[in-house]
Amino acid sequence: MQHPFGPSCLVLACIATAAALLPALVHAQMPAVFPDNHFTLSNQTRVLESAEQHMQAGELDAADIAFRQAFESVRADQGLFHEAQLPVLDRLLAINLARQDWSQFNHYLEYHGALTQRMYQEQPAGHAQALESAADWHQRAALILNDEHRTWHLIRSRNLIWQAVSALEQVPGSEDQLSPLLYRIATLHYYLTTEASLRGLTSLEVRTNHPVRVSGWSMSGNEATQRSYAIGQELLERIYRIHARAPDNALTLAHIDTLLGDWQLLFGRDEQARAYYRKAYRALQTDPTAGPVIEQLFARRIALPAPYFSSSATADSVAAVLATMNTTGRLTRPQLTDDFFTEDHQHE
Amino acid sequence: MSDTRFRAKDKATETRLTRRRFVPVLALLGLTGCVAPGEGNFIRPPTPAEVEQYNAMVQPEKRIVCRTEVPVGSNIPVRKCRLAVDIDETSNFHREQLRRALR
Repeated sequence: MQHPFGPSCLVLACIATAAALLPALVHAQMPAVFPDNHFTLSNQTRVLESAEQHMQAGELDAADIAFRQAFESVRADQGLFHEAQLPVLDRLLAINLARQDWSQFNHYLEYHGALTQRMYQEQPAGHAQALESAADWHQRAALILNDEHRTWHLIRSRNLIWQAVSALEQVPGSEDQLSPLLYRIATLHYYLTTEASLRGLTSLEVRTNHPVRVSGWSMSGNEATQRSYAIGQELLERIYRIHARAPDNALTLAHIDTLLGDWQLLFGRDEQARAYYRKAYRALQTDPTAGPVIEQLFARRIALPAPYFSSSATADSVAAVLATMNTTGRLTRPQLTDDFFTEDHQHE
Repeated sequence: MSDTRFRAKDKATETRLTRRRFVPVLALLGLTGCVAPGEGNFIRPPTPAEVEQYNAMVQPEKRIVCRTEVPVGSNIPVRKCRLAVDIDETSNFHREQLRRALR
């Protein structure tokens, strides 16, 4: 028996349904533009501008709210793993550092770590740079804080720089970039032993990634200082070996010998310090062009730990930031005319 | 004929020399067999900086602590590395045993 409406009626019904659904589908595909939402680029710029204005005016709470809004807007517009988040994230970190809202500050730093790890999965050099930037933030926090919180930030900073070193070690020919990072780890060790609380050091180093102390076995203060000395010495010797491979590098090697001498002086090993300074001085004396370098290294007092000698501006700025932490009376590198070298002159 | 004999003689001498050459090689192989790499041989413990780099890369439960210890019955210090978690567990266990013994 044949159906009274037949297949043609079915086709007509389908067309009618599709025609009814099509406008709704097209509408769903098109981005909804509302007059007053911040998910549009122009509005995003406006939010960022107002946040900057709040910040300039010192209205940190208002700036925080505005930057959070901008941050969410960037995430929505550009995607959850887009690098456009990084500048806004930097502003949020700066605001929360100024507000001393440590839970927010740590939260954004953690987010920064997760985001950059995801973004630079296949780019170790980029990842190393992002890790360095996070380490800078931890160091800035360490300057403000005291006690175990300072210790924790210094340890986190050190760990991040180690991670940056590990990332750079995967890149062939990046050994020159390692030296300032290795020197930075050494100076962090010095500040950890002199300017931070050693209470809970072992716990913060090995038991947890968070700023809490977990009870258990811990290293004595003396042992921690000896270990820091050993690590710094090892790292400086590694820097020396890296530079020793390059030809005609006598001046650089003399510089590193001076840093090695400084390291001995910082840990109270005057005799070894003298030996390193003597080695550097003699190497420089054999070079007729080394007059200005001798002047730079030994003719004036230099506060220790000295900045890294490379021309890299970042290494110097980081050293300068760290140097402001030194509150316990800074040691200085002696001049050649000082009593420190008197014994040295007697030998000659 | 004599030429053939000489050749045979040369061959025998050569074989003997080759054997003699092998003797020191075999002796050397035998000696090295005595110090074959086993547990403890040729394994350099990680330096303090290497330990720190490793610890920075792993989660807390995998972090290690290396210290120089003087084992019982010897005066020679040995560098030992252990998981920090293990150190805590052993120390808790010993503390518990001591408490039981003192009860």
